[in-house]
Amino acid sequence: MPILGNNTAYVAARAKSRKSSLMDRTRLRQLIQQSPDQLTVAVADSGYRTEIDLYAGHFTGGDLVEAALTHNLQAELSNILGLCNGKVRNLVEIYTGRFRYHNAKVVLRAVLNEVDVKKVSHSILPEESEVNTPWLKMIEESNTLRDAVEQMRRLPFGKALLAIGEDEGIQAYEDTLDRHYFKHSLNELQGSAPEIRILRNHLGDEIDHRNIINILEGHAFGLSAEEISQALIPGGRLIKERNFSQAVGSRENLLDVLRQSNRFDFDGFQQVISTSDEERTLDPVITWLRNRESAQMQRMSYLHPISALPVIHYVSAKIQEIEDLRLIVRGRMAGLSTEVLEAHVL
Amino acid sequence: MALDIKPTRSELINLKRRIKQTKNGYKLLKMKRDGLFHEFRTLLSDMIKAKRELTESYVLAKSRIDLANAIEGGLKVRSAAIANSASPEVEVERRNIMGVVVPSVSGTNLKQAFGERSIGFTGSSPYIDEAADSFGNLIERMVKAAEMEATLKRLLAEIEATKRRVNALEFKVIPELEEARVFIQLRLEEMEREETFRLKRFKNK
Repeated sequence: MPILGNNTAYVAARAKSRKSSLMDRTRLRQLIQQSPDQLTVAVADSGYRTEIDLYAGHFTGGDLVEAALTHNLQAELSNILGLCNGKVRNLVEIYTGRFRYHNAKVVLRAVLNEVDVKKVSHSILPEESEVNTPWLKMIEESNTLRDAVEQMRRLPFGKALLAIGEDEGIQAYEDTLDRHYFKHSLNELQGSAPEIRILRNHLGDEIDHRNIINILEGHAFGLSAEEISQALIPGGRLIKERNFSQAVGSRENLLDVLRQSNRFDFDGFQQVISTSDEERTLDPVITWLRNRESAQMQRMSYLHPISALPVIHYVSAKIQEIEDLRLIVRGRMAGLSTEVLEAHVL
Repeated sequence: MALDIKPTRSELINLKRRIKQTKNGYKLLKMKRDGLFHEFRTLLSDMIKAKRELTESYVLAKSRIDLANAIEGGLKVRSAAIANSASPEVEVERRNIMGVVVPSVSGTNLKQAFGERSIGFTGSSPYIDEAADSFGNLIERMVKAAEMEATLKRLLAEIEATKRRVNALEFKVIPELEEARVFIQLRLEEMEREETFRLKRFKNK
């Protein structure tokens, strides 16, 4: 981890300042009440005008707003990373690095199914964003999955992808990508400094949430314990790797494992599990886990004000704003009820 | 009705045979009509159930894809969509219900099992997975409902045609033949009486 000189205090102050300009709940509630026609203008007026104008020639409706929001997020992430130096940059980069993994998956899927690069650039990775250019180039220059993996060899996950057998399907590549992010990040977060420990714990919680969702989803879709076990990510704090075989056995076994932890609101979780059973969807569980994650992130930012944590909290809040706006716009345009939107946004 | 028939004994025998055959045909057609109608009613209740399930599946699939689009984003949903290279295909064959040729629709790749999808499981989105599963169910139900609807339409057309034939036999063909039979019988009896009278007159002379 190279240290080029820290500017933690400066970046933390900038991040706090930027965070204060993000939309608050009142503003989001106001947006939920607006009609679909008004929403694009309202989003543009909320600081996304440049991006909306940039994409207006290619997209309309929800696609336009989503492309503009994604572009804005990418620009903001590279901007905030540009402000960071040394240790703080490395820590923030660990958090922001997760977005490139999705782009890698898009490339693999497009190459495998011979999807035209124009189609991808017009619908999934807009060419207007410079961040997408190398990914689109990879699609254009690759004929096989292996070609695409070769092109990714210089990326942090390149070696992990190259290590996969040539006869493996795309699922193996995607699962490796998902596992690699957490493994790579946890490896980077070595040390006993409080901010590193807190961020490591946060990633551990993210892993736990992912594993809980995978176990529940696997059971809902009738997968075997072995198949579910293969999809789990090591490094969690609630479900340790040694407990994987027990946790995947059945839903009751998972609950037994979770019950043992005093860091987990087991009663609250059991309640959302019941709701999930009634509604026959994992939505209540995912929403509950996301809220838990968000609350942890909020707490984390106050613990060490002069550290990378407020910056990471700002990045997370910015992502949340983008996701909330996308949810409101897409949801309103699709005719989702105000109650559904409020339950997911607030 | 002007009867253009020869009042002969052989014609009467032919006519009686035709009446018997027509009545047999009439009975068979009536049984076919009743059978088709029974089949139609059974299928109709299944169809009503299938339509209701189809509507429910559509509403569920639509709400799930809307939620997936809203929460995960349209870009992520589309990226999951391009991973699926197998498009659904349907094959239409013929089968026979009481002489009526109806379609039998079977499909391939209508719904992919969770483990057979071309995307990883570790980082997959349950919203997208649930939406994909709902759409798989929807397509299966659409194919089933389409087959039932086409079968019902064919059955209904056949019932109509059979009903027309039964009515034509019952109210036109059989009464006409009966009338002709009565006419020939009366004519033959009259000819017989004339012959008897003529013989009596000849004997008296």
